Amino acid sequence: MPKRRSKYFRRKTLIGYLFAAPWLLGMSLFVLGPIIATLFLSFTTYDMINPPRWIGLVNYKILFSLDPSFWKALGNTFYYMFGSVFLKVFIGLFFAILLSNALRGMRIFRTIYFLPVVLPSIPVMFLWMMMFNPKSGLINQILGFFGVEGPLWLNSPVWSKPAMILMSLWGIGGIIVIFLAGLQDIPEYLYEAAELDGANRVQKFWRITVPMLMPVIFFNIVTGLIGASQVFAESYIMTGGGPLESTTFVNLKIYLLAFKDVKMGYASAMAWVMFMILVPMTILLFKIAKKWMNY
Amino acid sequence: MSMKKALALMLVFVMLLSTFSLARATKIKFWHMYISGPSKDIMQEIIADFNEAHKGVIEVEDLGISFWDYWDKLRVAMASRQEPDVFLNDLGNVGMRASTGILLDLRPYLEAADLSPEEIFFNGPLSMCSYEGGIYALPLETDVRLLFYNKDLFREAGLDPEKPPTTWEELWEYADRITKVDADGNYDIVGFNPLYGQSYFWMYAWGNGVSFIDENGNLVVNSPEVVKSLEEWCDMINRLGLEKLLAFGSNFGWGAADAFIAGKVGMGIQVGNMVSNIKAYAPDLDYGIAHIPWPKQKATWSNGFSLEISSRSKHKLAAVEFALYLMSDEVQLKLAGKLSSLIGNKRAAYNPELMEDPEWKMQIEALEYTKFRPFVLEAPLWYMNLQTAVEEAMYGKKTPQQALDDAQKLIEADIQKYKMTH
Repeated sequence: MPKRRSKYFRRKTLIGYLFAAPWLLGMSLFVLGPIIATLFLSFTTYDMINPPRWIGLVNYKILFSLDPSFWKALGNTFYYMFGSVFLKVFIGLFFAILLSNALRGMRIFRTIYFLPVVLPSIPVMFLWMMMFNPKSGLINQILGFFGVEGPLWLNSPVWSKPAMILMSLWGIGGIIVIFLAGLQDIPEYLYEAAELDGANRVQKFWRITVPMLMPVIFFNIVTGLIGASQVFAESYIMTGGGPLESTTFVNLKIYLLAFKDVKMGYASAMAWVMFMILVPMTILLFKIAKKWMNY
Repeated sequence: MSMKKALALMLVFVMLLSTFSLARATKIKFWHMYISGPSKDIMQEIIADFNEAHKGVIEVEDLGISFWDYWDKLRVAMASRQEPDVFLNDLGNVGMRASTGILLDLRPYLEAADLSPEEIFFNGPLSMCSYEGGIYALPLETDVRLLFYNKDLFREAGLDPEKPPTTWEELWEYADRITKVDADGNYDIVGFNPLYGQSYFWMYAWGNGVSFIDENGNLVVNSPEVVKSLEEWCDMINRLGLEKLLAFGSNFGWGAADAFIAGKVGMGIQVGNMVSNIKAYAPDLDYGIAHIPWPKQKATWSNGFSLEISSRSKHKLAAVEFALYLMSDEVQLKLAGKLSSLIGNKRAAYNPELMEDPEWKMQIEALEYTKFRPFVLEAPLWYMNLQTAVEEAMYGKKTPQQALDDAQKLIEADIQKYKMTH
């Protein structure tokens, strides 16, 4: 009997793998393959015409000793990553709590907040470029209404990154929806018990909501940071990396090196260094998170 | 039999074949960017003419790709050995590709066809096609930058619209009379906007008689002469105020929203094909074109599109035949009226009928003294470092000296990087 059963399961497993085969194939051919290829290319010099030529660690040596622009790009990327994630999580949580309290109309608002996430990004970027216009743009006009003279935004080396972080809030819907789900998971009796003990709103928020939401906050921070580390189209479309390289993020740098400068090997090395920075960072975040979450 | 003679015979043979078609036609692929407007129509017509004349011998299959996607597609095609036989490329960095061996040296073919490149093509563009004694591209299209000025604004300011400025002193004198400021102190009309259009620092430096290549052939962007030019450049921007200029500029865009077309810029430097934009968006605009004012010598900057042939092409002769056809006087003349930029064939460009048009004449005159950014194999994008230095100085982040010193260091690092990886 057990033999027949295992045969049945083996067949089931086989069918399962068959169904997963397209993904497995795609993953290994189009994701894993290129990843391994870039690792190999990072040790070579490759102009995309002649075969790659092995040069060992020279690309990495150049990266660490001769290329200040990489560190600038890295700084820009981290500025953007942490800026946008901090704002997104903070404001996302705020809106989620507002929404979960206003039970009536919550579905409609949830949809409204989520809508921008599904809009195509290029037209949205053009829209934001118009909004950031120092003179005729909506943002500075509103600021002017309050007597504040708005900055040059995308034309200013100081304000270009904050402008892009502000723009990233446009895609906050995803985070709100995840927070909402998390909020609805918090058992009502915790709040009721706290109320009986005389806790006020602020206390309830800090003592119940935040700790109970910690895994969700953590999830949003990690996925947000990794997502923001891939920032590319914003600077490629809106600023071209300028002014004064203030919006040259690592991915734009890699793209320019690979396809404009045709230094595939060097661009691959840069991608791997970025990877080597992001992996330990994520591990560190997990370690920190473990300390925070004591349940 | 010499190489030259052999090639000549083969060329003749190909031409003969076109009259007595026997075999199946050789198909060659041609990639370009003529995908809309009059340039598309004329290119289709030119290709159809060629195919008709070579029926049964050579057939050109063309593919038009938008400017924005073109470069990545071509590079990926080269990487996968799928590149077309004939393709358009960037005239400014032919050497970059020639050094990799992907381009066919056209000199023997030109000689075989008894064509003297020096006679046919303008000097500037031709020098960009040359690499280590060979000719690796043909200058299909080129351009120049000139001073565009608004005659109506000249009249309003009491200036003679037929007398554009020739020196920078004159230019600023005129500009100050044209500039208008609104009640809030913002610019309504800017007499001369140094940040507008195609105004680049290297053109100004060339006008000052400065070269970025020293007598040993090395790139030097921080020589005292360059530093002085950048100081003057920054002074020009500071007298108007960078912030105010940026705010002014952000009100305008491209096409009908262009500041000059909207009549808000008295004088500005633009590429010659601005003419066709003005025709399209503001046919009534009364404007003139002049050489960019020059401190020491006339200077302007050119770039453009080259026609290149893959060294891996299986049908080199047919590809050369088609490329030479595109560069022929007859075809270039056809293109002259329809492309928005200039043609690379000097004989066609000097066609008396074309030269009757003062705008054309002005551009061709400028083509005679124009420069290209010097190509340096070890640091082909060196000018981006220069451009960053210009911006740093403009924004007041660094002094011109400091900014240019840093740019020089970066360029030298690039050269060192090249040597380490090659």
